[in-house]
Amino acid sequence: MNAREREQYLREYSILKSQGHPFFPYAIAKDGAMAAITLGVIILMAILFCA
Amino acid sequence: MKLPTPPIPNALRPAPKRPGHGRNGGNGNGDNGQNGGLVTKPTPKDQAVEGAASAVGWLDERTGASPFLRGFLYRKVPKGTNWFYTLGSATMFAFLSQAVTGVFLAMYYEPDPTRAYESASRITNEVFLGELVRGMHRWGSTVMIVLIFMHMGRTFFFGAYKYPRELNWVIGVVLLVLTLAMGLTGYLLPFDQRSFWATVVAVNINASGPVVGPYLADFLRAGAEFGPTTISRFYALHMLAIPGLIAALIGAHLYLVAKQGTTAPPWLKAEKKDLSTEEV
Repeated sequence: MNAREREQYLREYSILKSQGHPFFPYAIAKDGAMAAITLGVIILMAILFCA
Repeated sequence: MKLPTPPIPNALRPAPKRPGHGRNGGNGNGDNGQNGGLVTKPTPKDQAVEGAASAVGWLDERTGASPFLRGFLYRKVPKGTNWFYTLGSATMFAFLSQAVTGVFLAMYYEPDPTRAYESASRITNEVFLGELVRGMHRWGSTVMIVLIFMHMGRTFFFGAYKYPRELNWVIGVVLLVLTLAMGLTGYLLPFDQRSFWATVVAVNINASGPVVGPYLADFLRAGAEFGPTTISRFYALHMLAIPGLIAALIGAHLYLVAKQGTTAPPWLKAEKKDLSTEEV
């Protein structure tokens, strides 16, 4: 990746970022839901298959 | 010559009056509260909010954490981010689950060749909720490794390993190796026939590696052969050295994610008119 491509990438990324949402509360809500699913799967497997 | 009075720091400036609270507890209309004006008494909810705000203010004045937290929490995530982007935080949550369940297991486990198997059996059969906690630790490790590979796949296929995130990719690969090492060192700890012989095979595979292999195997075994100190070495690596490294590298990984931002999905491109506006 040459200097021009890097500059192009950074410019494009800054535009996409400015069109996005703040991490809190939008992304953190998804992260929280996924964390709950992960914990649920771990507990379920521990109950079903034991140690 | 008189020197000018230095400005008062923001932290020491008196808080502005709440609406409806004038001087001397009046009602905000120049009434001091003694001429028939309404004096509103703060409700328990107001007091709780005030108490929480002052506690947060006290902490912030001493740590200066609010600019960092504000930057971390309110940073923008590019449009188009989806559920695939939650795999990294899910992996970190699995690690936290492992840390918590591991602490509980360590309260009852004895890393001694003559007592390790009995202590592991006691956790499963006698300790309150021991079977559940041990099961969560056992299956949590599997879930964590599956999540790491899924997170790695997302990073690879979305091109998130490219400029400027190469260093974060390298840190992620080191985290993968350390997590696999956690699996290897933890597998011996129940000290039953299966875990013992599986570890013997794994360490012998290590020993067959070029140049450093034999030294690595000697280090893992705590000598040329499996002996009484092998299990305490695995326990120390599993409980202290590797989790400490993982926690430190997760911190570095998160710092770089917050600093460089999350990658936008590769199929999403900024519109041409936006680019041309930027170029002007």
